[in-house]
Amino acid sequence: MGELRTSRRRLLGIGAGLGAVAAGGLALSAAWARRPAVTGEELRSEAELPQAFSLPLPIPPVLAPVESGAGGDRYEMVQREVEAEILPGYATRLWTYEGSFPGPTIEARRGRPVTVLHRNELTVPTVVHLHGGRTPAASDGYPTDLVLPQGWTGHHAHSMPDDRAVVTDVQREYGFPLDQRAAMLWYHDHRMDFTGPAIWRGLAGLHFVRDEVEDALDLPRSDRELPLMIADRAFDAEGQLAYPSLDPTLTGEHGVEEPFLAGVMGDVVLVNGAPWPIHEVDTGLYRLRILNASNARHYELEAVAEDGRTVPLVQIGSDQGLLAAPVRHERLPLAPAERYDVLIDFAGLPVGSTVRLANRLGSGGTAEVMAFRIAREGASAPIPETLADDLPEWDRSEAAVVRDLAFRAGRMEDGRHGWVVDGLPFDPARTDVTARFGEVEVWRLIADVHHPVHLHLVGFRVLSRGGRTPLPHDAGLKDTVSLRPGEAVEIITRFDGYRGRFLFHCHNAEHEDMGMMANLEIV
Amino acid sequence: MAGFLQPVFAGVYLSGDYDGLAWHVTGANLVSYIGIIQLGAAVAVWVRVRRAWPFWTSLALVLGATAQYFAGDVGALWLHFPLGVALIAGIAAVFAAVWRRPLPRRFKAVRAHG
Ligand SMILES: [Cu+2]
Repeated sequence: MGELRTSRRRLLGIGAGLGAVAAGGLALSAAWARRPAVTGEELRSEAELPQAFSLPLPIPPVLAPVESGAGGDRYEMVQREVEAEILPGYATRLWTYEGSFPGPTIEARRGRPVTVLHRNELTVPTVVHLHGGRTPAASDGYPTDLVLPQGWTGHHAHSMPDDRAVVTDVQREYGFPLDQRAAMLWYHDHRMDFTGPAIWRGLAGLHFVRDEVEDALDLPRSDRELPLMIADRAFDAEGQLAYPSLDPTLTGEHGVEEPFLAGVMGDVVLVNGAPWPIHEVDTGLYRLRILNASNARHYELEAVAEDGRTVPLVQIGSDQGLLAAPVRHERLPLAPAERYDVLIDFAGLPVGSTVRLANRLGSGGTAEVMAFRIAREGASAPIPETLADDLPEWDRSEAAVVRDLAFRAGRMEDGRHGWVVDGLPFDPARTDVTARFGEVEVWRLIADVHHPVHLHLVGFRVLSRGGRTPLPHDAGLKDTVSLRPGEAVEIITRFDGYRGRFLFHCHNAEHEDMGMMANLEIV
Repeated sequence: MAGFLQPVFAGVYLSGDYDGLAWHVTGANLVSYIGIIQLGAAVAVWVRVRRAWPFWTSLALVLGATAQYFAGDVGALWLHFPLGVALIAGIAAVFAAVWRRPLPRRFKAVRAHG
């Protein structure tokens, strides 16, 4: 009997010990782990930052064509360094398209070709990619199709050789047929190994495509349609953009300092280049064309009125244009490179009050994005109940190929920590996926941490998320899908449009620069 | 066994095999069912031979496994990973305890009759 009691006591002891260790581990994890999960590290600004909602919202200028004819519109842009006042009292050096950040907006019509002559007056090679564009390979801005600056002597333009690269001196003309649905696209630098710092310094702009489907809906337009390019940045004590490049000249070793390997985030939220701006509106209906142009930061947007009430964000479009029907969100998640087309109705809100656009994933300064001040009464307008009827529908049964693709941490060619697709870092000389022109494919994407995965050339539909039905914001035609830690997403698309060498990659710009990119050859 | 296969399926999944996810979900369901059955058996042990610890440890494991299921479901990996390891340790410990201290004859006889 005594023996039994001893052993029972011992058993209890072991059980209690095990329980204590398990509870301790869980408590440690709860305290240490980031909840919600965040992929990336935040840089802290040293410059004096302005009060939130004190500066007006800038609207990027619309670029006028240098030539317009029956065959389309022709534009010219110069990539050059300028100084601009982003933080009051500081002159910040920026790399810009045409001297402005964001770059000038291009307004285009479906099927009407646009050509853009880009001239590189910066100190490093550049290459322009039109994100979301249905663009032939020669103008898609392949990362080694570099435009070299005058007098460039750097023998290593990037870390790996590429026989197929088309390199030009000083300038290059890109041709965009734009045979695609109305959507808000964006153009940005896509230079191999250095995309993250180039976008960070300012090389990004908006490009709208319009069509008859959109016209027919009579959505809010002109000053009731607001482009919002959201991007986080950090500033050093002199007010210059801070970025943890291993080589700040961006001519030698690529990559970022170790704590930032998962992504670089800033503590200042810029909208159209202004920190936490405010914009005057009336009590009518507005259309917000939102782009997350941040390198690594995810947002979860919520519009909050002064009385604490949530003003719904009614999504009418996705990366690749209008949805079939509106989707109402209290909170709208926003991954890098994703675009959302939303309507917000300020009806019923008191004149003189403000509505904050908050970021529920942020803390401190990054918990705010911008604000709207209700300045006057305005005419109300209805939200259409149905939207576009031209969305492509693909069925699983049509798929010629089903592919599994893993996006996870790994090693770059030189052995340094990087990010890999199916175990391999980017190599321009290797074809990773060969798709047949015109065929439907299902891709099953799997992630270890957050990876916003982007396919060039095509739009796709989200079939499932985590083996279940997609989330409400996955609706419509997308070109970038946000994978969360440990998550898998199935997408379906048809590879048509153009043959040639295209890309798919993670749009966390630091992951992209450190290997997480792969070749898609359409034959 | 099902419990020990769960991290295997998770590893297969994260290595890029999408089917690993379906196996991981099936495994999770299986672990849940086994847990309920074990809890039932533990109730029988408590009633028939007045031994309570199998019930309490089984209950702890079932509650842990349920939390684990939902943590995985909502993607709370901060909880899912350490809890998974703790559950495996718990299963191993209970297994060892039962193995080392088999239930008394009386119960076996009763069970044989019943
Ligand atoms: Cu990534």
